[in-house]
Amino acid sequence: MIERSVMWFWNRVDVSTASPDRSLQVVRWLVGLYLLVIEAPHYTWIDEAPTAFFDPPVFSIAHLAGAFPAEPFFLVLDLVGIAAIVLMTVGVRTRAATIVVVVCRLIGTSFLFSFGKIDHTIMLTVFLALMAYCEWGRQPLRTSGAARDVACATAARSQRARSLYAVVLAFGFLTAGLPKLLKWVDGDTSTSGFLSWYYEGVLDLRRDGMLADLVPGIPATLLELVDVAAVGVEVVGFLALLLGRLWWRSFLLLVSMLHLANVLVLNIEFSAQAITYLAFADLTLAALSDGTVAARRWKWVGGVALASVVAWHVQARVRGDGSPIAFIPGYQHQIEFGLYFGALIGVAMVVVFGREVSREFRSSHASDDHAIGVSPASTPQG
Amino acid sequence: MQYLGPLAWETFGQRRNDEELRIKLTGITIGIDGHHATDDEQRAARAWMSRRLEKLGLMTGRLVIRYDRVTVDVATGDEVARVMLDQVVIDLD
Repeated sequence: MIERSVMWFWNRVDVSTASPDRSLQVVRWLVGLYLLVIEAPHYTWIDEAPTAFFDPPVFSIAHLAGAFPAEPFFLVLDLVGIAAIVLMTVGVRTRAATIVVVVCRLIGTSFLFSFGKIDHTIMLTVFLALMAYCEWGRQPLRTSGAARDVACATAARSQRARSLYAVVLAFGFLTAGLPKLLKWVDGDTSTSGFLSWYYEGVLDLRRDGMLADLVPGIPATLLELVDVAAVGVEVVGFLALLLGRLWWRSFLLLVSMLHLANVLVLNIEFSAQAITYLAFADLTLAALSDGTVAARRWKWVGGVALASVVAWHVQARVRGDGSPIAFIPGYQHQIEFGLYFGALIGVAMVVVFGREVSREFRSSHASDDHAIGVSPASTPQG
Repeated sequence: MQYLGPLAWETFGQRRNDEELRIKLTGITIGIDGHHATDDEQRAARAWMSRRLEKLGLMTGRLVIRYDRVTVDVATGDEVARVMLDQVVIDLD
């Protein structure tokens, strides 16, 4: 009974999350590009921090280390991480490179979180670990019998990775939504969960950019609806996952809109998480066949752009400077550009999943029409 | 900026940070040693903060951490009152 239920659950998840494996290669390029341009490893600044600030969480790698490592540990970590991202993006030793990226992120963020602040970047690390497991859906080039077996095994691994990531994502949203459900959804218009975040951000962290000015004066009833809507979206992930492809993609569209609203109004950006949703989209149209003139041209353009970005990161870190965002040094500029990039990625995700939802809706309607068309009862009699 | 809040809460490394894990079912409490900054490390942190304040053109002798309760008019977003709840002073000299 339990076994059957577990099998039913994973079958439902598989159906909801399936997308072409070839699309994962496009996702690899996009995530690699994102990691190099907007979220590059940048831990060298920790060298400047006094040891007295070291206060890691108890269950962390940093706690085991006992102190910030001596120079040039973080410089090496940054350079190894950047090199691994480049290899992962261009597809050289993809699995090994992705594993190195994951390990660098786990070590780096563990020390980064030793100042008492923990960021929500773990989803991207989990995603990368799962993509290392399925090697980004890579298929063998040959079509012999043995190669076909390998292809089947790879396809099964890719689907397992996508399904597991979907469950982790739904669980993550549920853990974020449940505490809010208990506090925010109270039907009391004299309190507002949304405003508690907004004013804390504006007053303590100067999160007053983009469309933040539009918030004061919003009617209390609307603010209560915002609380309910935000919580509602966060807690329905598992349900959407079990209901089917259209529902899961609709959920991803809604959370993309939530991220976009967050970055525009609360100035909190989740692009590191949002970009991972692409694993559930069909991006095969964006894949270029090797050998075409367009593919060769794009490889050259991409190669030169990639080389400039990497050169900037390396020279900046060696000088003891740098930033996660390429060509944008200085903390305040990083924050501003991070918001603009976050908004752009948010819009892109809304467009991608809007398209996905529309396609799934059409396809489910088409299959309904088809079912009606072949039904003997509805066949016109001549 | 984002690190200021948590760092201020821990008084910029100027106090011991031990943690306790309490297992509810059994009632057992496990004490876990946090990182204990030595006197030298705390002195180095104070000197570091002093240099930072100097760079910003601020007074370097002491750092004051204030915890305020702010009242805001939600119709306009304007601050209408501010009451100090607590204050911690760190001598940097």
